[in-house]
Amino acid sequence: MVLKVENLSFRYENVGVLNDVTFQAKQGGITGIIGPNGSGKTTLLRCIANVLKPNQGAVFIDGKDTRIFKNKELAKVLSVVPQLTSLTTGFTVFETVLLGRYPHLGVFQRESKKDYQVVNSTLERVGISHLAKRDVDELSGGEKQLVTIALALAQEPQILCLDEPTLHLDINMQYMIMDLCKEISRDKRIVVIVVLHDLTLAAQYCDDLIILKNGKVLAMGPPDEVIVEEYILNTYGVKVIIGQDELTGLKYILPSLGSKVKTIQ
Amino acid sequence: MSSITPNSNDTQNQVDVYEFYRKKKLFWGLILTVSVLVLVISAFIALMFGSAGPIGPASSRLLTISDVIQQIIRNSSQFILKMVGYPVHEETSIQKIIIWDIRFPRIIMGALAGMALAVAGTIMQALFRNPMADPYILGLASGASVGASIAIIAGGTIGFLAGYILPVFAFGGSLLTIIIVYYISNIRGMVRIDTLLLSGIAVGSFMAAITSFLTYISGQHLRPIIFWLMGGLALVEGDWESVMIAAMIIVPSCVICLIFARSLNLLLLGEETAQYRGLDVQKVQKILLVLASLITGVSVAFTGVIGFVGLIIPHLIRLVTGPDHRILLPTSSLIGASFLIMADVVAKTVIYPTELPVGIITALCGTPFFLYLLRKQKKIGF
Repeated sequence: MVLKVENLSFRYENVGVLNDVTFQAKQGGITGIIGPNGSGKTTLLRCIANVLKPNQGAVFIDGKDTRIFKNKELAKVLSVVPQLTSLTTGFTVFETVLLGRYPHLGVFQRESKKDYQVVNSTLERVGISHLAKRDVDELSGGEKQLVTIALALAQEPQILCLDEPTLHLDINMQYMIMDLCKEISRDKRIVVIVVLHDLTLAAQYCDDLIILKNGKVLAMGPPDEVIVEEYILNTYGVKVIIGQDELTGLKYILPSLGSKVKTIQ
Repeated sequence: MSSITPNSNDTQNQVDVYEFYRKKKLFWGLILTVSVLVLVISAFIALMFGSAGPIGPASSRLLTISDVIQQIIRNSSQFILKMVGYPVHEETSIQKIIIWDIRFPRIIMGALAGMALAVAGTIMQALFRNPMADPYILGLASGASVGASIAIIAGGTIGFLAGYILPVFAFGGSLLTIIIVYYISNIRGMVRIDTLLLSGIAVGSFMAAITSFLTYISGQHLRPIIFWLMGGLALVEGDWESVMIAAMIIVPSCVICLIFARSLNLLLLGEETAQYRGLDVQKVQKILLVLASLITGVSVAFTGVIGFVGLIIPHLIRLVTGPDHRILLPTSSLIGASFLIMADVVAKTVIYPTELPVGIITALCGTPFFLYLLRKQKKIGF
């Protein structure tokens, strides 16, 4: 399974948001998208999910243009965890995740034992089986995020996109979510694309990174090549110190004091 | 990763879940059975009620219970035979006229209007994800009121529409309103649901102002206009034709709405999330808006603006069934129908021989009950 984005451009009215974006994401690894606010990351995910129609270029899944997919067919292959899901419905966790089976069900078809099994194993995979019968309103922010990920996984997608999945979460939950992404990409051999703001998380977890700036791809490649002072300064206008832990070899990124050198346009 | 520990007895948990859903399905079946029973019993009680007896405020006991039962069986079987083209001999008796020609259409219309308003209310609340939403949120009622006021003031001067001047004008008014509202919120082919809400309120207020003006200058037509604005089933008493027209639109539309129950559940998660689950959000929203507006428009056209049913019945049922539209929609429609039938019985008899607008009764009886439930449960599923 390969996701290919080719020469993708998108404009909202007169404002260009994406400009000639081309990249590939392969299965079994995490592709991270980083870039400042308003650089077009979320728009890119929406174009990939065929919710927004690009003005130019196209998205291909295993060589097939996504525009020929019907909504439900695409949802069986590709699933997105958006930044915001309003889990204030009064449904239980199980019922909420069961809604993820929507693309697999015909209009008059009722959920079968198989759908229940998929939901059960998804809950187990995400580690929230014990919450199955709880009301979604009662959950903590971190638990809610796990439910939205389970909702997307219940679609049994080959490609999973997550839009800032670590937003508003504590450090333990952040690492837990990223661990989960890593495990899912390896175990299920699926393509995982994650939009991130935390550069340290991006450097530590992603196999490939794409930097977006003003809707253009500024740099692309393995974290070692992409997370460098020059690119970060160029993208965010912030001087950073990139350090490496001697024991583990893991990288961390710190802004240096008084580092804000320019306002980016 | 240890902040959440997976449960060790997962197999146990799975069995639990199956059992949980088996019980749930049983519960749904029970709720639906009870709702159907409630509807049948309400309709039966309403048939008994009236000044001619067997139950009712007046002393003339013209009808007996056995008369009522006999008339129901005879006339409904004849009705079915006639539908399949079988020649039937129709007799005319005072019992038949009172029960079949006068009371029956009024009850069926009450059921249809209650059903339409409850279903439309449920759909609007889900589409706008707003507990304040009701069938009239897009200004339909105000638009229909303008049409109805004009029809009442103009009186019988528009000859070719015969007895249908009022419903046709009322429906025309709501149609015009919904077209204006939709046109305003349609920006480059995209209809945003929050813009729709705001333009609905704005256009509704404008239409309400026109109605106020018409009411103010209406002179001797004031009373009928006021009565219509409060809603009542007296308008269709003895009018089988109107009832059949309403039934042919409302029943199929409600059935189609039921097909979208699962889509409505998904929409509760937000438009973007629903879209990523493979739901064509724009299309589903359009279809449901059209259907909900259609059944509301038809119901208003024949019965006037009956408030409260479309707002409170969905909430009331949600307290019992939870937010799942697969059970919420059918239960709301059945209980909405029963509720309006019973409210009409009260409206007919409470200050006999004068008839009250049913809208007053629906609000007076329903609100305290709803508030009691709200306090008890402290949660309405939104």
